[in-house]
Amino acid sequence: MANFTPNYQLNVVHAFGTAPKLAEFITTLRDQLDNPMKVNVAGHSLGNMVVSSAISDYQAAVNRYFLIDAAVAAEAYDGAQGNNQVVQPDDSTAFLPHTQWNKEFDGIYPSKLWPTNWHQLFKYPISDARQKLTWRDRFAPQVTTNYYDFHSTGEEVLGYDDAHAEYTPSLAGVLARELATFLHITRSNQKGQPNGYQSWLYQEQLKGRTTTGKILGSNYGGWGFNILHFKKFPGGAGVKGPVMVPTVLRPREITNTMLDGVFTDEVLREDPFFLPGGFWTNVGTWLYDRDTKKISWRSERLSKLYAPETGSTFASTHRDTLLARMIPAMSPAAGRIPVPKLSSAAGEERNFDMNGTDIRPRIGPNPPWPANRTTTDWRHSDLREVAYPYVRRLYERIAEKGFLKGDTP
Amino acid sequence: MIPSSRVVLLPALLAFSICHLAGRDPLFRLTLHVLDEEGAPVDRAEARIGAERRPKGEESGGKGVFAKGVTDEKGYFSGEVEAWSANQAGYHVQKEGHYGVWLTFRAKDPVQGKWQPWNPTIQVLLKRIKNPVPMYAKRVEVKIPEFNKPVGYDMVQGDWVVPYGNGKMSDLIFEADRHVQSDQEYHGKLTLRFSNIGDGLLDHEVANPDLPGLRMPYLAPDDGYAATKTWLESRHTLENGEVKIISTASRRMNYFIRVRTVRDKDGKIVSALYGKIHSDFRWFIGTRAPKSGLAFNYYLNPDGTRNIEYDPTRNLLQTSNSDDSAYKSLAP
Repeated sequence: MANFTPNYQLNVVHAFGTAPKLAEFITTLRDQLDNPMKVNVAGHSLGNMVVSSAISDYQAAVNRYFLIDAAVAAEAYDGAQGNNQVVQPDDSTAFLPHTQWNKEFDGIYPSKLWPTNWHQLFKYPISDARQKLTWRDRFAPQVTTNYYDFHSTGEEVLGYDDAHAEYTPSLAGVLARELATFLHITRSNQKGQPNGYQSWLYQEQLKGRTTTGKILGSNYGGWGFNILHFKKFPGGAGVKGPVMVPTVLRPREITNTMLDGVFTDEVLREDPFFLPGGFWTNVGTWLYDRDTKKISWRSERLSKLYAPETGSTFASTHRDTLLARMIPAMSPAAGRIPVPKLSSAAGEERNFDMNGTDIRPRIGPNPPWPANRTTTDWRHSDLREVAYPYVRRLYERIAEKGFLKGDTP
Repeated sequence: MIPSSRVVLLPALLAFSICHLAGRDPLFRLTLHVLDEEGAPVDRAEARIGAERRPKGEESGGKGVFAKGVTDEKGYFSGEVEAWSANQAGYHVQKEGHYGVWLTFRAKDPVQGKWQPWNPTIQVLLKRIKNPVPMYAKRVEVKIPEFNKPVGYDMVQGDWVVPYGNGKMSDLIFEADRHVQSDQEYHGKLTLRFSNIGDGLLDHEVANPDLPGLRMPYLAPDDGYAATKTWLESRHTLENGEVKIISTASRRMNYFIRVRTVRDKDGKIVSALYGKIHSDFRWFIGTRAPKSGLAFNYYLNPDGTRNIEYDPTRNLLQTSNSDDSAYKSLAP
């Protein structure tokens, strides 16, 4: 796992593979403490995938967990969907889906066809593991851990805005800008982080939209289309007579009759509307043996996912890889937005906007900030990129909430 | 349609390489039109537009390249820079006697060597500093001591009233009621009342809560205050599995506030203290906690006038909280 890769989705897979080892380390550390209530853990960016999995999946006994710039979908901590919730509604207002699904084709493909809802087709029997192929509540907060979300509304890597939500570019479009910028990788001759505006959003939107899946996005699932459903080829019957050239099946052409007769639950389970992936596509996952504490790599054909007899077992084995590569998020990252549930459960504020006055008090109308910055936005990794006097309240707040200055209760 | 990535990938990479080798980045241009709160142009204001330049050597990202100048007699300034990225560009305007502005401008991807939109005109509101006064200013983060019982909060003392704190006068009276089955099933109500007839809150919603400067008017209105305000929090799972959540707090909401109202025998207000609440009251119902929590930011002017322009350097509240300076300087 030591090799470097700029591929975000693969890094997510590695993050899940690392989590059990972090849990082991925390358990060892905790055993050495005179006061076992002192275990504070802070995660930065994708490191939060590791910490969250360690807590949720491997019972890492963490008392206080500080999410900083978390590159994890907010819905993983609160899966409620709807207006003003972290999970966006399945309509044209959502900006997480690839825009071809809810904006570009003069309509919205029925939500039943969306990759983000595929798991709902497997509610029965209750034991089918494919119903867990969703980011929603993947890391539902544990009762024994206090979660604090230090996010920034000035994020660039996890950021987004309306202007960039109108149209999802292709991978080529992304490359035409600057590859390193969008992949948010550090060049060999640079320190710190490059710009990377909206990288995280693109990584989610381009799931299922790239040819190889080796640079950005992925080449199965996601917001790709299953060409057998999506394309009408010459010679087929069209609304206005035989189809002469290949055309796409537009949202308005999908009638309720089609949903009931063509796109039934049974059909979509085995042959989804989104890109199912190639027959030869392999899916690999790090597996942890709780007895031997060893990690091994297991790879299998993706086609097993769609077969009734193997689908559930396959999903159970490769759940996290499928989440990383196949299932897009429907909420912004927790490093960009607050997760209200953390505060409502705790009965106190647990969400802190590092771009706001809580962490950066203003002197006059604006907070003090280095003059060589174009704006006062608190960007990804500014906790280390900006000098301590500007960012010290972040550390003071962590010290206060983590009881690092006094006795632990 | 499915993008034919292989077809467009090569030219895109070629374009990227040529651009990179040439070492020239696209141009970014903005025009600022600076006006005061009465719509009059502000001339000779120091203006700066900036975008991100290409990092040099081992530099980290995020460094800006800037065009600086002053506004003309009509309040205009135009600036142009060569920008590695203008996705998080910005502009900065300041003039003595005014509240400065430093804001983000997000450009879209460049077309033919120019970040889009090319040279848009941005209206910048530069509010004058009129008469900032010392006030009791505080960011409150507290637990509500009791349920189903009115609990007073003293805005001058910055604390709950006795016996829950050292406060003496109940400027704000909160009453919280909650019914919690689990994190997924709960509902509750927080009610705010006041001690005196004439006391109350007056809504003031802003379109963009993130804009710097004076977010509310210089003066509080002398009429229109409501004697009670209620916030609801609930979460229920419907039979069809849909989760229904109600949370009535709004980030865009702010309030004028009037407390300690004294009236004459005809009901006319003789004296009162005016102030403001920045952003909404936030009630944390506490589904896993024994008590609810409450957070809000207030500014209370003790001089009896309706002036609510706060001087951040003169907070009348002295507390031992080392973090309190953050709340003293929340905003003018």
